[in-house]
Amino acid sequence: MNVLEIRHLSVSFAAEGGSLQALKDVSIDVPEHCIVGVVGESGCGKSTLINSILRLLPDNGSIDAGSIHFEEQDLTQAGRPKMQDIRGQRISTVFQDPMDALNPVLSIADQMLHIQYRSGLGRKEKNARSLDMLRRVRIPDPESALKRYPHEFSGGMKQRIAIAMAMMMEPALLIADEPTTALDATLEVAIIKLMKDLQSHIGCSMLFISHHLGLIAELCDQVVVMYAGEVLERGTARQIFHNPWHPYTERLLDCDPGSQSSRMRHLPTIPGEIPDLKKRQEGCIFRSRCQFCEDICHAMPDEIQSNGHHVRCHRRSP
Amino acid sequence: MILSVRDLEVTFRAGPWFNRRPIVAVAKVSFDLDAGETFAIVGESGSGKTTLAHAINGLQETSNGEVLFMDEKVDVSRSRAVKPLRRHMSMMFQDPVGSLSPRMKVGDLVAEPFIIHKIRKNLKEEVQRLLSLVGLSGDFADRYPHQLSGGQARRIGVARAIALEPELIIADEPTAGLDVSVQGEVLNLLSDLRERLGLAMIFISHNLHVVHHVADRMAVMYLGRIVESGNTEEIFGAPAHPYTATLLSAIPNPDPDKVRERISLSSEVPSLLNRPSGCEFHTRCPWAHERCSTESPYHQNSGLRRVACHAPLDPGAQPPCAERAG
Ligand SMILES: Nc1ncnc2c1ncn2[C@@H]1O[C@H](COP(=O)(O)OP(=O)(O)OP(=O)(O)O)[C@@H](O)[C@H]1O
Ligand SMILES: Nc1ncnc2c1ncn2[C@@H]1O[C@H](COP(=O)(O)OP(=O)(O)OP(=O)(O)O)[C@@H](O)[C@H]1O
Ligand SMILES: [Mg+2]
Ligand SMILES: [Mg+2]
Repeated sequence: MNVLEIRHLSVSFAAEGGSLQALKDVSIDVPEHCIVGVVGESGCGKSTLINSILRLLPDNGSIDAGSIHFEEQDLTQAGRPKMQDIRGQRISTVFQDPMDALNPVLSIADQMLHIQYRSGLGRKEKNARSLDMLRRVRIPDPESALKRYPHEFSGGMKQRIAIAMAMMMEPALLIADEPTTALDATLEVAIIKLMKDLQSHIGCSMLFISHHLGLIAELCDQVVVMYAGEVLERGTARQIFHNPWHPYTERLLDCDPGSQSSRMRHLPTIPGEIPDLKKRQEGCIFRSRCQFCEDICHAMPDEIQSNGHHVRCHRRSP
Repeated sequence: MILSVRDLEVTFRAGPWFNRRPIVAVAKVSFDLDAGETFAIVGESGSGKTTLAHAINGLQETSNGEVLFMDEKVDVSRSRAVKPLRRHMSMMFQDPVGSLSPRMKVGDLVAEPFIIHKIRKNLKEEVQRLLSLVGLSGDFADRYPHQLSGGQARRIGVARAIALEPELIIADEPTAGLDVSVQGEVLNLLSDLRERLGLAMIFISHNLHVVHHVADRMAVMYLGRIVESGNTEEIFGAPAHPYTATLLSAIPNPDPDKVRERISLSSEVPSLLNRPSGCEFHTRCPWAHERCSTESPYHQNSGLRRVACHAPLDPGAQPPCAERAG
């Protein structure tokens, strides 16, 4: 059973000089109790994907096609009150920028009280839960932290407070957009372990976005690889990391400084430029940067699938 | 020597208004930086890295110690004296979107350093050149910050920081939120500048893989203090402070089947309002003995390496009780 099923989703932004297609024909499954990681170039549409699920696209953004099925309803068709319910209870999100989640003029205690408004608990109990969550994300001296305001915390502390708030809701789906960019390695591991524990305890699923490939490998059951608004490959973490099928995935893994053991001054990159999303080319979107590009790549490759490993690449065509 | 930081201390007041208490976020930090050198600062979240960076850049009042940049004192209270120094010392902020003013277009943001320091140039051309240096096409000049992805905003921060070709860049998490390929591009760009212009860099990062590749020397901070510093490769090869060893053991591998042996930290993160006695790491240190809870350690020097620990680790030391994570 899939908690979330995205099918053929296309999203665009109105921009100066034409519309910019940020997502094109994106299909993703998030099975029950499963952690799905999304990786891909900066600007490839990961945050746009999340904002589409939550129906929080900015005014100039629109869903042009496709469906987003969550708990037997199509979120692309859901009205505003319905979405507010879902965002408050069934899906919780850790946004890329922790300041998006935190209100600068309210103390942490007040903000954590606010998000528990549906819990039916008394004020005292709510505060006790807030305290417990702050302790779990390892905020030092949580009692005094509750009384403080967001600007009094370091980048990583704000991130952890945002994570604590998202996890307090016990949702069916937890979405996390680069939740650990400001955390040191030991904390990162601790927070990931905490998220994993909570995920299995609450029994929720997770959509986890990160550029940190090591983290994705360690945390996720399944991985989706995106490029320029398209899904190029998806499969289990082992399939993606041990046996990548798409040339882009291969190049991406090679660029990870974590896979270079000896020290180097110049780090590997993927030469070439990201295609212009305002003028999408026909055919394979990675073509212009692919070392295996041939004539056939000017036509769009079909999605090929075996054992849950999906890829869009002519080299894999039978 | 381009920068010298001596016994620097930053104190905040925290707590409710009726009970404001001082917290020392940066304590007795000293280090020197040579022209062209890359110095990494790593450490626990909340250990004072950003505060230290702001103090060096003259954005944060200090309570003790001094910062000398190109032989001039950086003093927040004399903003007129600090402004010209900033032409040679630029800052990349940890929060990429928040540090860009939302009403300005990208083109104006990138041109801003030239305007602030009254440098006459063909601004249009400069903006195009800088955008292409950070891998963004020219039409980004017409966008507003909220129309950028997180990584694109980060790259605008890079473009602004390198605009005036400074002597020193203080980069606070410059590659957080960038994918590995763009991260490589940004780091290679900084490394080219360093070769071409002798740019020095303070590089704050949680990404230890990156630190390993780019930094000549590094310092490890814990609760506002530097607990270990030295040559990057030597520290990665054989961490001497238990906190450093813990940190290095936590780096995740890009392979789902290779979960590492990790040194796990016991007990809660101490509060700055209530610093532990003796060695401040003793409450969580797997190797701690009695002496550590009462006596503060001095910095022990051997060559370039400085360690604040009563019993620095031998190379390859295993913790008394290693736990397997996963
Ligand atoms: N409001 C907007 N108006 C116009 N273009 C936008 C807007 N928001 C995002 N974009 C563009 O859409 C594309 C996708 O952006 P998105 O934020 O989803 O990327 P991302 O994958 O989350 O990147 P990152 O890893 O850097 O956070 C980018 O090219 C971005 O510039
Ligand atoms: N304006 C402020 N008022 C009170 N306390 C503050 C203020 N700014 C920072 N602090 C405190 O100072 C300490 C150091 O914060 P700093 O932002 O320098 O940490 P950091 O090492 O950069 O952490 P991170 O890696 O999470 O970004 C933290 O405990 C933080 O709560
Ligand atoms: Mg994003
Ligand atoms: Mg910081």
